[in-house]
Amino acid sequence: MVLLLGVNFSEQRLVKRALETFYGIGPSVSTRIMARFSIHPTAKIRDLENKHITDLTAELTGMRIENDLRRQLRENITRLRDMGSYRGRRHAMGLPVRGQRTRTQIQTARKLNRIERRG
Amino acid sequence: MLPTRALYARSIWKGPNIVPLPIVRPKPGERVQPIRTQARSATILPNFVGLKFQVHNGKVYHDITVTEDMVGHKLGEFSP
Amino acid sequence: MPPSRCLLRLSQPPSSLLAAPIAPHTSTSIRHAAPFSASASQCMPAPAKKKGVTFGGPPARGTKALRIKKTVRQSTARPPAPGERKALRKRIVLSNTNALEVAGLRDATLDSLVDEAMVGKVVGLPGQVVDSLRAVEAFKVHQGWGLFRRPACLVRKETVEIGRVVAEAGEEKKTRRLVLCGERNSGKSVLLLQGLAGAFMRGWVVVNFPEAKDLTIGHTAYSPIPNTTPTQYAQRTYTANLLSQISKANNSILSTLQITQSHDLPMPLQRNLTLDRLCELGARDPDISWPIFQALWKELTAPGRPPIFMALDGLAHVMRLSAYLAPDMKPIHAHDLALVNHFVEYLSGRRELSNGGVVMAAVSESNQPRTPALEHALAAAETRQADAARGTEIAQGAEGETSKPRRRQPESFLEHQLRSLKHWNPYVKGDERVIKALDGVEVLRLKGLSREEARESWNTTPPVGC
Repeated sequence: MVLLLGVNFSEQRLVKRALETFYGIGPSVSTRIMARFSIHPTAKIRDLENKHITDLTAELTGMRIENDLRRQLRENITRLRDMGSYRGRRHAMGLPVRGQRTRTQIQTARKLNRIERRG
Repeated sequence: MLPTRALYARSIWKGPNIVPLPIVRPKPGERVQPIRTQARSATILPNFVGLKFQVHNGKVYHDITVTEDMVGHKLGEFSP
Repeated sequence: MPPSRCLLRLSQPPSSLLAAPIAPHTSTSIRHAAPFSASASQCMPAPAKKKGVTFGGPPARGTKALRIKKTVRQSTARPPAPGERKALRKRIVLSNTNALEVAGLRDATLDSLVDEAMVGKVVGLPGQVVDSLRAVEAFKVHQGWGLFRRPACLVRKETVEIGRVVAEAGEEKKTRRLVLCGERNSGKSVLLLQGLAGAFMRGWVVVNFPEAKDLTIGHTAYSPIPNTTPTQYAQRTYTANLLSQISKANNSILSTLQITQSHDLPMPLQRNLTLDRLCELGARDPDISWPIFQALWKELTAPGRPPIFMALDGLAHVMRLSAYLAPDMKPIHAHDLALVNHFVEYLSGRRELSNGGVVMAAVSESNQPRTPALEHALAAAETRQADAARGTEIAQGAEGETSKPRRRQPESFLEHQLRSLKHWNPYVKGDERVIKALDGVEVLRLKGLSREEARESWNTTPPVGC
């Protein structure tokens, strides 16, 4: 087991997949991080050297991921709401924000659009 | 790592939509009339901060007071 | 539509159509007149339908649908352990006890591989050579070695040619550079194997990259080497593996050679360390494998050492961008990988093997990425060779018979194709490094077996006994 940013990962897990478990890291960001530290694309956690692990931890600590990113998302919506813009208002009402139709097919907006949006 | 997506938008390389509006700097102690306009697509510039606008929404004019947060948005966004 | 067809199309023919002509009224009258009939249900009133249940179409909400459990086969077998299937896939079988012994099959000797008279004969590979070849992974899974009692191969015209090249390179202390190409299944890899076998028999040091793909598809660790421009990348795990292969395959030679020079290594070395021990040191610790490989090479190219045979199969994979990424997210060119670069330096002739040797690469047709630059470079080299050969032929003819004007031989179709390939298509993006890497190599194009070779190999092939 290897600890990355407070999360334990099993030895046989792919490094790429392990990085992508963090909110805010997807395929392209994980590829970029791995390229920066010269970790090959199919590396598993057990192949990482100590240097790699400290590098990765330092990199992840400096990035805006997980709760920081979620907070930023909420702050952005709150800002829209506070200045009284149309987009903020639509978020608050749980309706589509970007001019979609509302007669049908607004389940996603109902589910997601709110001031305290979850990530 | 990536620059924000908004920088790729078309409206960014075209620059802000600057509309000549009858802006009068209020003298201290003097009350100014709000600026009545139908230019909903006018970008809010930094020098608008603190001014009052009346923006048409197609039917009526809505009063808005420009704050610092609104800079970069359009006038129409605040008059639904 | 014909009438019979019409009837066929009715899934349930109405009784009026079928029953009427045979039994005009009976069907209904009999049913009522026979109280002893077993078909009681027909007399009973139909059971009341349950409310809400409709047949056909999905069941209404809230009612139970008929669910039939599907029979799922439970496998009781143990799932294969990690790496087990891969090991099975890569397993190389070199003997088959069911196959018949070939009477009079002789082992290959140094002479048999360079003798014109042996063309078309099948020779067995000596046991020690087989061990070495196995250590450098020269045998491939799909080559069908498991069909025969012991590894043997046919001496072809090209085998003799290669044998001569190897012999000359050793005698003249020159570096010969050779690329094998040809159609699929024409025997490029086996020819490479024969070249390796010849080198082993001569007591050369052999370095083999059995599958170039493994170097470039990004499956092994890599790291930039500091202070190199352009930045090169070492593959420590692969290098460690390669070192262990080298030490295993060349054990008999390397164990007699000792370190003579001083090396800049992270740890001190014993005074009279043999080279195979040096390889093992690198094989054991991947972190220092690349410096040790360099040290080994420095030792091997020192004066008085045996010649070297370097081989690589699947050339196209190292003539393109690799799957590794540089820190700036750009793909790394395969030539920037230290091991590939090492091979390409010798293939391109930028460096020479000081004790002589052969650098040989084979193109693979069954597993080959498209590399237009490689195709172009090979075609250009081949045309140049053909031109040179024709030139000497004409010159010889002119010397011999001055009276008869000798006709220039017509171009074959292949030559014509090659000539057209020689001119670069301007719409295709070319890779200059590849063209430069293959500048001036000898190209050996394999065609199918000749009639004599095919006949002999068929005669010698024993049927697999049951």
